[in-house]
Amino acid sequence: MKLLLEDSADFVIVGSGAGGATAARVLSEAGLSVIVLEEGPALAPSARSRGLIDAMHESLRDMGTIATSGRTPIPLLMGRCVGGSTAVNSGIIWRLPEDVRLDWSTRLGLSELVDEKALERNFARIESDLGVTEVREEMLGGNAQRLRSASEALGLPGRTIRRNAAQCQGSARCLQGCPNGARQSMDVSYIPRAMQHGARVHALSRAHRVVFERGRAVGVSGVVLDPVTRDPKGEFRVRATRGVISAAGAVYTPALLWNSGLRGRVGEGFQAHPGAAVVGQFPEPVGMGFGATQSYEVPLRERGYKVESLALPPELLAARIPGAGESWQRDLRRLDHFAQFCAVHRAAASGRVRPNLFGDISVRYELLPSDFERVKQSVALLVRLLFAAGAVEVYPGVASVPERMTNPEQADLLLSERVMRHDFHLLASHHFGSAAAGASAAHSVVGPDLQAHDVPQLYVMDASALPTNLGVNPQHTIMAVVYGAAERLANHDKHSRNAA
Amino acid sequence: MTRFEQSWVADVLNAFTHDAEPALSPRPGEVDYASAFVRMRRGSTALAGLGLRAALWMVALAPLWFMGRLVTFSRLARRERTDLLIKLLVHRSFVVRELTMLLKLTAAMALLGSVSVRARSGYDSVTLPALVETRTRVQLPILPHTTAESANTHSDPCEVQRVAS
Repeated sequence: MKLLLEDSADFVIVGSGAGGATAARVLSEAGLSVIVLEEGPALAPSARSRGLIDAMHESLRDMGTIATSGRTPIPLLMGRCVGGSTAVNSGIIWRLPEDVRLDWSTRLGLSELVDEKALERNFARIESDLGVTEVREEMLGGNAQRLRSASEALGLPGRTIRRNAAQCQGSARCLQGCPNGARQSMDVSYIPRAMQHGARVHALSRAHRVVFERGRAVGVSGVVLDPVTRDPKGEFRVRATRGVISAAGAVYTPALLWNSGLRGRVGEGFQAHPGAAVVGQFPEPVGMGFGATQSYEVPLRERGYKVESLALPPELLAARIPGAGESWQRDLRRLDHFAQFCAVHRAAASGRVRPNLFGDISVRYELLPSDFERVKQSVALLVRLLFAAGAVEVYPGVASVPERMTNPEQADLLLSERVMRHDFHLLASHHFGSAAAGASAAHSVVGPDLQAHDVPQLYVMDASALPTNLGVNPQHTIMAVVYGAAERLANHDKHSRNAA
Repeated sequence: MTRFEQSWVADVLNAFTHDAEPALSPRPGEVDYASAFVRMRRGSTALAGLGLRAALWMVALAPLWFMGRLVTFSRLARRERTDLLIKLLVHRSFVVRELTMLLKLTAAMALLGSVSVRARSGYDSVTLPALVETRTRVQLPILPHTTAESANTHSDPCEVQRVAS
């Protein structure tokens, strides 16, 4: 294959999502030269497709079809475009929960990485940069308004979601990519900011392996992809004089490290937030097609899950409505009469990520029985919430119970022992821990400075370095942790140069 | 795909909808099921692409293994096709349910991917006038060689792009 691109910089970053873009921003502003490699394309907001099939092809890895292996696969959603998953998520901003911070700090020896004051400062800086604020009342949309009224009716502690989209125009297209550039995903915020300070972004560049010399990480090699077919059309080689940073996410960072010859705990300890969703039909128009995609939530941390409003594009909503033929079409004619609520779970299950023989990824991950009990309880609550909001029919999407429920008492059917794991459709968009940070080289891949224990100049700065899942949306934590680590790296580098 | 597989795609995905009024009634040529199927298969992982094809064969041969009739799906009457899909969607086997659901998702992608069908679905009926401001947003400063639009700018694939650090 022909060599199409050669480049070099102080730091080479693989991935342009929450971790990679934050590292690029901090290091480039510190005067260091930075290259960002991104496998997906660069998409201007105005070029984002409205139709789901085009949007998924453009910006979702393998159109969302990568799934965990095992008896009941769970699809794993990941962005693949400049901005990574921040360009296809709902822009929900949550700070690291204090119980998780204390656990990492005391049990795993990460007190420097998650120092309370430093994190606080970084959270505040990021929130200011991205204009984080609660969703405006007029942008809630009918879907979220119904979750609000239902949670009030059931006495649950709901709240309007804080997002990085102060100028949201309610297009309900977060999952396809904001067409207005209102959501401050990395492609319209930290990546342009890094580029203003000289960072170079090479999109459509798939990293295959980290290059080592004398035991140090000194570059990355891979292939340049054709913009239309996405087939490899040539090779690239980029050289890093001060370090290589993997920020390809908790599924692809371990794959990159594994392909580069690292072993030990690489790929172990994968965790996720599996989610389930329930749709309800209302007598009046709900208007799922307008408002922020996600704008209201009911945090139930003590129960191990969080309930959220989640608007779906019409294609996915149609697929979630039961049946086929005449009755299905009759329902599709009333697509503005549906609402959907979802629950995301802090599952205790832990899995493993490995490249497989076909050049793909294998993610072994199965829920624990206690996780599954939580899923059953949360889905039963979603059914009750939809009825409390005024739904006349609810579709739990669970195989062993009626596909159309007509009263809230039927929610109890979901708690039956006859309801099995394979009856549910789950999906996971938050992934963690597959190249975890920790003080002990025997139990982690990178140290508290996010540098690999065994390989100088190789860093992991994404969700794979977070040692456990959080129970809340991870983007903000990834950014704040990486912000601090990248600042320390830049300062250390500066002192080393001054000393030299 | 073979020619008979292409024919199965059209028959199976069409059968999820039914042309009785007052339903959504896609008009002839309004929905491109075959294109949606091909795009889904090509864009998926190898395993998922294989699953989609397996789903097609499973449904195409369902009259044989599910109904005990020595015909393919395409030989069934329209109403029978739809009734068969409804039964497969709630089949007791996880694999049968999921593969049929994969086809339903593809049909929904094609159906609601049609602008005119989407308009008739009412999905976009609620809008917010006046309150929305429309000023230009931040534009991504894209490197010239990284955009889809610049697909033809690599005029000489032998030329190595060397970027000075």
